[in-house]
Amino acid sequence: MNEDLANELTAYIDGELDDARARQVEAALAADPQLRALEQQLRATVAALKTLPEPAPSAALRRAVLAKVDEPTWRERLARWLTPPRLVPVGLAVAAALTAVVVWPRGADAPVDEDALLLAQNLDVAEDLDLVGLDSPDDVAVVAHLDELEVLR
Amino acid sequence: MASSRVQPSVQAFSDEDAREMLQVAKGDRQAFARLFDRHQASVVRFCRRFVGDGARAEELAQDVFVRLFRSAKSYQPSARFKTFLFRVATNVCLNDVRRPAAKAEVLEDPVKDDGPTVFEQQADGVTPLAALEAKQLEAAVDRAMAKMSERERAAFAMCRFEGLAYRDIAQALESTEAAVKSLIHRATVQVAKQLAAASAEGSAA
Repeated sequence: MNEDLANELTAYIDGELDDARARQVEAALAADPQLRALEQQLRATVAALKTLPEPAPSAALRRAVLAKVDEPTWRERLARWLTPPRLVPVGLAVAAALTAVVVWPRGADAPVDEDALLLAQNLDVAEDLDLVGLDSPDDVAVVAHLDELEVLR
Repeated sequence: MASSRVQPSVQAFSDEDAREMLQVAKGDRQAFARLFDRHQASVVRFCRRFVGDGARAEELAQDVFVRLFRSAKSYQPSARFKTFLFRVATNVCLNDVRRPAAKAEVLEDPVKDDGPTVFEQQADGVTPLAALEAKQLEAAVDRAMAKMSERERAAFAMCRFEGLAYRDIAQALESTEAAVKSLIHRATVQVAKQLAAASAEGSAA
């Protein structure tokens, strides 16, 4: 059996071959009983498929589809919801939230870095200490109380 | 030898469908309802054959029409409406069968591949399809379709059950006519084998 022509049989049965190719297939069919058997089998299969029971759509399908297309999409819902009376307060709220995030990055309950706080409170002293190479908070405390040392002396 | 193919009545619906679809794109619900009424049976049948389950097919058909409505603005009247419709339907069905749950269902019900070939049936002198009852026939077709690749299944369903020409199927699948010819041939041979096997089982019982 000519495999190339065998592979064309379904298209031949479906009327999808051009005339020249269809004539080639017909000539091969006339000469090859095996090819003819396959052709008959394929024709019988195609015919059997036409007898399959038809699935009938339910009435519920129509109702469901038409109801669904009447539902607004989320974009339409959003567009309807975002009217100017709502848009202004929402815009302000968003702006306030963004400002809070940018300007106040640390929460009120965030743990305090004691060393950093001490440094900030004594920044002027620290700047002086930096000149003489001191960087420990203990050193800062000692230097801050130098006047007392002087009194003791 | 004359071809037995029955061409779909293209002129009967395509122009009107295209006009209706353009109306749908403008938000015309009634035009959509008319399109739905004309094509619901086709879409349900296509989905039923694709997924092998009637209830699921209705759910998918619902999804197809909702998507059709929402994508109406992207419809170009240069493309046949039915091609556009079945492209949407194929995508919906493919998404469904690719769900992990759907794949598991297929694995739980593996299809046998041990039937005799067409020629073995012929050699045995069995007249394969005559003895098959409607339910056996449908079950055999479902089994054969479950074994097909997704593209074979889509091309086969469009060709055999909806009467689409190879050219239109190629357009719906974004493929070539040559590729579609091959898909449909393989699928039809697959079904022929499955029907022969079912017929042999029926004769043996």
